Amino acid sequence: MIEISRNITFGQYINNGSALARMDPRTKLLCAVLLIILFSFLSSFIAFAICLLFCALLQRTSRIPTGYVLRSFKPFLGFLAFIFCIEVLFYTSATQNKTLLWHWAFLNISWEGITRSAMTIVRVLFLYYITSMLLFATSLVDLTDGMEALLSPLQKIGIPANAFVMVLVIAFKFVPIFVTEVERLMKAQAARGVRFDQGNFIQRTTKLAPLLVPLFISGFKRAETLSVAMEARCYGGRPGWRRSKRRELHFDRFDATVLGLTLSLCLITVVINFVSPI
Amino acid sequence: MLFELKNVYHTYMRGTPFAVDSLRGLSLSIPAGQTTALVGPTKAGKSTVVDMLAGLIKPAAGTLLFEGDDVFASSFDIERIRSSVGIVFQSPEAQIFEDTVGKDVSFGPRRKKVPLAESRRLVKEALEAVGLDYEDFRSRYTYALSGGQKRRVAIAGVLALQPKVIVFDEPSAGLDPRGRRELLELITRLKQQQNLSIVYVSSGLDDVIGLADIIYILDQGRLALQGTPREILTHAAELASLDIALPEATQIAVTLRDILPGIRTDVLSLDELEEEIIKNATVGAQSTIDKAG
Repeated sequence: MIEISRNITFGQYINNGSALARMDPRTKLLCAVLLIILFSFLSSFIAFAICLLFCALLQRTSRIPTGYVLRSFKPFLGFLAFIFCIEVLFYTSATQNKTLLWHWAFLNISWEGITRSAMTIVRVLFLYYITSMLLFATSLVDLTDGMEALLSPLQKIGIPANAFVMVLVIAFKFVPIFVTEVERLMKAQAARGVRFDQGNFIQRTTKLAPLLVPLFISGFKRAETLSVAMEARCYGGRPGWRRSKRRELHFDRFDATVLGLTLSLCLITVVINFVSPI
Repeated sequence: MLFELKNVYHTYMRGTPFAVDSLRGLSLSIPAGQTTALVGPTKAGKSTVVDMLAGLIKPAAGTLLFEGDDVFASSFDIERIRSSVGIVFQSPEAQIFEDTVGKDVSFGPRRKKVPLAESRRLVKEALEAVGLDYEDFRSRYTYALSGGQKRRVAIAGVLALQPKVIVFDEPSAGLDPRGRRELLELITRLKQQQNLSIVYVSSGLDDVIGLADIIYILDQGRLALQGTPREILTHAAELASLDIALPEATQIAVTLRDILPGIRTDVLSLDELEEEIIKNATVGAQSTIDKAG
């Protein structure tokens, strides 16, 4: 009934002690960035098939139930299907070289349109998979450390990378807090007679609107408390200060293997992408 | 019976790696017109029971009966439970969502489409029942109230729905001793004047010993002990092992057992404790004299 946090699985760290979870976050971030670039670039189905093998390997190493990961795809499958239809119907190629299968007024379905749109969907699914995998297998602390380490060169040229990372982390941390907050408010209203599980889409949405004001108020209160707490613990850059870390990051053999594997995947698939026609 | 839970199981985040069992085969019954206390350490499943009593969550297995009818049967109108059960959630000040006191308290009646005059009367009665002046408070902003006042407003919001049962989920948490005493007095008064059934959820026995007719002790989603306050207090050692805070008088009695082994731990008040001490001390002194003699 009212248990939304169950349906929001994106980005929740699963601490199962797998090799993937224990990896150096810098490597994980680097690999994820490489793969994101790769998936955005590839346009061959064969190349993606090889990527799928890689993902299967990744899935095994992570020891996260496959069903659980796949279920997190569910909420936006409908949306993807919608995008797919629109893209197919309005597909126009630069060369106007199309195999038309069906045509009506300005709508048409062509073979090229279908393959192109299918490619977009595959790409989105892969991108979603890799980002959610990164978040499933990396704790927030690790993620911050990794990002800070990778962005530290920027700090040297005067860009406050650490502060940006902190902002990002706080934003992430607030998501579950907001979800519980919404849940609490919904319960309070449900106990006083509001039925969130009734009515059509518009009616349901309007029932959520009154939650916004108290949500914002509590959000601002939390932000204030947090900033006072940070101030009290001397957060912030003062000239000559440097934040040290209790836990040093270690790049070991496993990391090297994973990075090597990712790089070779990139190389192979890029080559295939140029050679293969589909 | 007002409520009956039969062998109820519940798991949060079911089917995810974050799954947590909160209830494992819990059975208990809540009689009408009485005060029932649910006491247990954290993770005992108290809040889950509260949500279930409000008809907000469904048990994974087992049945919940409300006045003899299965709540989650398709023929059951959930509106029935929602209109007869009022819930004061943990930190009740957080369940206020409107900007003024009047609007917040009248939220329930307005939702039920109660006529304006009637709704005004309900709000007035509810506010007065919790000891807040209607004319003074109805136009006040809710976020400018003190903690204790917010709690009262939250309770008034529930009272305005004219429930048969009110469930209090750790209502005294975070209140100072005076606020706590006032709250307990308010609950006692409500029970007597409005003829309500009360379910009081708490992590310690202190609040409920003088209030409850029947106490259920929960632990890890199961029923550990049940009985009247006096019966429960005879199990002082078991309660302590469950990390349940004992009332002051019982704590003293337990400590005194070292020197007065015969002392009873089921003392409900400090006065009773005093009598017990005098009785045991004289017995103890007498036996010492006998031995010496």
